[in-house]
Amino acid sequence: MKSLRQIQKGAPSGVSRFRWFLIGTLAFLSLSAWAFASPIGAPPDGDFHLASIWCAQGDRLGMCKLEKVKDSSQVELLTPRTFSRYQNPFGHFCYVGNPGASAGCTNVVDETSVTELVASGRVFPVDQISTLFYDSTSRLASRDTESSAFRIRFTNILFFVGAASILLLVFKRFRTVTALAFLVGLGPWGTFLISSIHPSSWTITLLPLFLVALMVAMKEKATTPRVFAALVALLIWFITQDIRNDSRYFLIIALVTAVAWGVNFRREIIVRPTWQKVIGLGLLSVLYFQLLHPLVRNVLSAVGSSQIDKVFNLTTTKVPLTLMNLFGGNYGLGSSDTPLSDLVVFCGIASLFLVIYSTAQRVSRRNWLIVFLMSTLLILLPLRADLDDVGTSGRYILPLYLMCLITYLASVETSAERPLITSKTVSRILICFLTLGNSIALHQTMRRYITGVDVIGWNLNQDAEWWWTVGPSPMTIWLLGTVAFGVTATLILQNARCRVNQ
Amino acid sequence: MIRSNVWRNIRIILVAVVLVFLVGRFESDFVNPNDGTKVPVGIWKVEDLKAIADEASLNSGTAQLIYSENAKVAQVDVLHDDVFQLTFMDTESFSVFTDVNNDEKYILSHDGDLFARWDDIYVDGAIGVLVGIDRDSLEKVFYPITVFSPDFDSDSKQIVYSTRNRIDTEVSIELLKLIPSGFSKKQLQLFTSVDLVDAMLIIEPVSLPES
Repeated sequence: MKSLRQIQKGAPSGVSRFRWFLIGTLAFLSLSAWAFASPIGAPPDGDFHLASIWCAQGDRLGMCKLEKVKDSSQVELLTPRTFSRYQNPFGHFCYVGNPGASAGCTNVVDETSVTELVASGRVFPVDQISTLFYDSTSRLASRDTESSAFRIRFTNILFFVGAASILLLVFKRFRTVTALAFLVGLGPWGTFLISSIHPSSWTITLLPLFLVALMVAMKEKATTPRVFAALVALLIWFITQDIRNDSRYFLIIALVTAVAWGVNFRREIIVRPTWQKVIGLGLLSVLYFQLLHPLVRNVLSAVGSSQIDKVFNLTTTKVPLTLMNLFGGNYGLGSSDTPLSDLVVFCGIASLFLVIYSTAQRVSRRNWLIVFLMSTLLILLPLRADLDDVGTSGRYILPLYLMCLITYLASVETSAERPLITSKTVSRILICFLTLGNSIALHQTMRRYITGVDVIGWNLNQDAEWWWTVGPSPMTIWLLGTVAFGVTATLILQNARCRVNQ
Repeated sequence: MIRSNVWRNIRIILVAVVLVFLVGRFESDFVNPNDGTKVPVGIWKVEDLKAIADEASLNSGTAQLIYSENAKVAQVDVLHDDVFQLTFMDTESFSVFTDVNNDEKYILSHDGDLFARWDDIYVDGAIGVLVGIDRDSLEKVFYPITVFSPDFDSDSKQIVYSTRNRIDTEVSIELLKLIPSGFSKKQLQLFTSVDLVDAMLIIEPVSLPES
């Protein structure tokens, strides 16, 4: 209690800095538990991403061979047979599709799967083999897959915690808002993907920070922080745009959101001289037609009159499943054969509604409208994908969901007397729900791979069939991960309850 | 204020003690199913093994590698004169090469080209020891032998070597280090078969030739 009061009364910034350092360290610990929770190939499309990482630097002895496809300028990636999802009963994907099978089979090495390089089925034009994500992570990969897995996973976690810490240290204005959005919004998908070998690890890290940087650039009054924030946003744009195919869409959505959220249109229309209004309007038009219009056209094309029945059907059946998957429902993380329990989903949704419940009255109608329009994209984007029969899941829209949360929380009016979260009870319930959800999701994910789901019980150490050759036991990882998350949540929510004027 | 601080500190210490107790309990209880599992390092061809090992070797770029092979059962049968047939049954699916310079272990697939190139690598036969437990007497023994022309059958997980008894029975220090303690030296006898269980074949260090 003392430290809370100290901060409220304007305590020395050292206390606050130490608190944030503690949050960063504990978040790292909590995510590290997730890095241990699943084997190397567990993330979605693991075979694709592993092949891309192993081959990002071209031919590598025992790791990759690029084979030219006949009569074309394309190459096929040849990777160790153990990376091949369909070519053998062993290797890194042996348990996929069978919830009762543990990942123990990944350590069974038969004569044919040891090291032979086989066609991965991944064909690329010669000059498009790699992206920044694949290239960077491939430098951490070696022939020793277990060491490679740890190196890449912990680097991704460090990247998330480091990038968020550094930027939020500088962008003091939205520090608590962003931390709370990450805490409530990441959910099982976010924590799982950040600490895995998957390009989404970087997009989930960078896209929300891109929005925060833009918001700072829009809201700060002093020139230096504005320019700095804009430069950071520009840097994130260049890093993120090619990580995933959909990254650019999210960058554009963030850009438009930040402009709509940050510009005081009434003042701009009344105060600015006419020539500035014309230039501004021109810039907005260019921005819209160059960046946003293709996305709008793409989304709207789904709603043709001939497809109304299909749209209705998908909106009421498949899209809600995707939204529920955002909270871990319907199908599992990584190995999609094993969904998380409804308790995890309940905790995620309840936490979101608690945050909205305790802040809704302090958001202006204009900002509600912005958040509402952003949120409609959470429905429209999966709908568009479903109409094209492209499989979709919650993880695809997770960056957008996080950006919605940041926009919403940044819109909550706060003061020294009225912090972001006012009620101690709400704060405590939130800590319980969030920690419970994270803990159960971590336990169920570990259970899936350690024994398969045919074994039940709380003790993950018992009858284990798979585990890493290094590191603490499963129960230690689960316990420390749960405690680290719980304390992180407590500290962030304490900060949200004693936040000073925005 | 002071009282609340004391209570808070007591609570933190209590939680820490419980955590340490639980972690200690979990760690002592846990039997890792992957303990001792060799994570395959991914080598298929001898020339790749040479390149990788030379790159990692501390000894001016040329690795000195000891070959070892494990099998549940090993059988030594008389072929003719002083030549025996050594059959390794129920083998692991890869051979292990250990670099004497840095103790690094490399795993080479049996389905690679090791056995096809064996006689080029070990010119005049590979000098080594056959270690195991005699099936009849349960005696722990090792035999100095010379091994050549191996043949691998992937279906039956079986390797068949041709071997000769070694006249010069001196065993190098590198090999002696790899023989578990309590094993006594024996000599293959003419016209006498030997059955071993939990067998291991270890071959003296060699520099792999260029392809």
